[in-house]
Amino acid sequence: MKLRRRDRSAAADVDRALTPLIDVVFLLLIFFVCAGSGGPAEEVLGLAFAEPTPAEPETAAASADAPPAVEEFDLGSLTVELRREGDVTVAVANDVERAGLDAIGTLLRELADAGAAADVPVVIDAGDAVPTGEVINVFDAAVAAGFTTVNFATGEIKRP
Amino acid sequence: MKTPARVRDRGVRSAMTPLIDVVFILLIFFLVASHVSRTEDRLPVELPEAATAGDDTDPPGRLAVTVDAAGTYYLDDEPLETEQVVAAMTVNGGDGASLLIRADRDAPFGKVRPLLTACLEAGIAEVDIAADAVAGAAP
Repeated sequence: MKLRRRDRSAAADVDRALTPLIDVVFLLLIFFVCAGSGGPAEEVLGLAFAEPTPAEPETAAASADAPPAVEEFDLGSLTVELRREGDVTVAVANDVERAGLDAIGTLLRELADAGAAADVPVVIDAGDAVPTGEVINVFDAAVAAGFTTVNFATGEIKRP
Repeated sequence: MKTPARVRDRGVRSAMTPLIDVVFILLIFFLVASHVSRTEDRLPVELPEAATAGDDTDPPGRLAVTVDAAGTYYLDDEPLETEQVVAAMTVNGGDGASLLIRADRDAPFGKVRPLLTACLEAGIAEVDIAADAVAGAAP
């Protein structure tokens, strides 16, 4: 009885050692596949087309509630026009040229601080050659400032 | 007669647990591998940075169009012309349809705008623009 048991246990030891080995090797494999599967996950900016023609700003409304702090603009809507001139992007906000995209970000924050964020739609009218990254930066700055309506111009924009 | 039966019984029982172990691990492996292959399909582009970007919910059936720095459209790694992308969007459009635009930060916006216009025409109401989280603090 004792002899048989010892014999069997020798064979069973090999059996028993192999299965956890395979287990661990598979787990290591999965670990390295997961670990090497690339950098951080992509994030997304959501756009929702609330109206059939979001490119057309509603310019008639909202000027009555304009706070007196920023009289520089007609607060019907804020049109940010981006043009590419050589290697530089020129930013024009309601026909007033601004010194770069940072200035647009500052302007958007100032307007939001003045209480315009809920009433004034922002329309981003970007030229064909403007890098998408800069357009998205302006969009991002507008959303970060708290503007509730940010549109991309898809065609000709009728200015107020 | 009795002894071999007992030995066989014990053999089957002792082999069951590691078998289930290995099968489960294989299952996890294939799940992970399929997920990785799905995300690895995406063409590597330098996405724009955005502070307000949120987590990607990745709704099922969403069409993903990649625009590289040169302005070429890709649908699942396959370079396409504007008309082909618009046609694919029209086919996939309708209620509840959504689109993911993965545009390189250096891609000309003139190549992204037709996608937005096509969304309006195809009735795709939900558009996600892929972006990377800003490395530093929010502006």
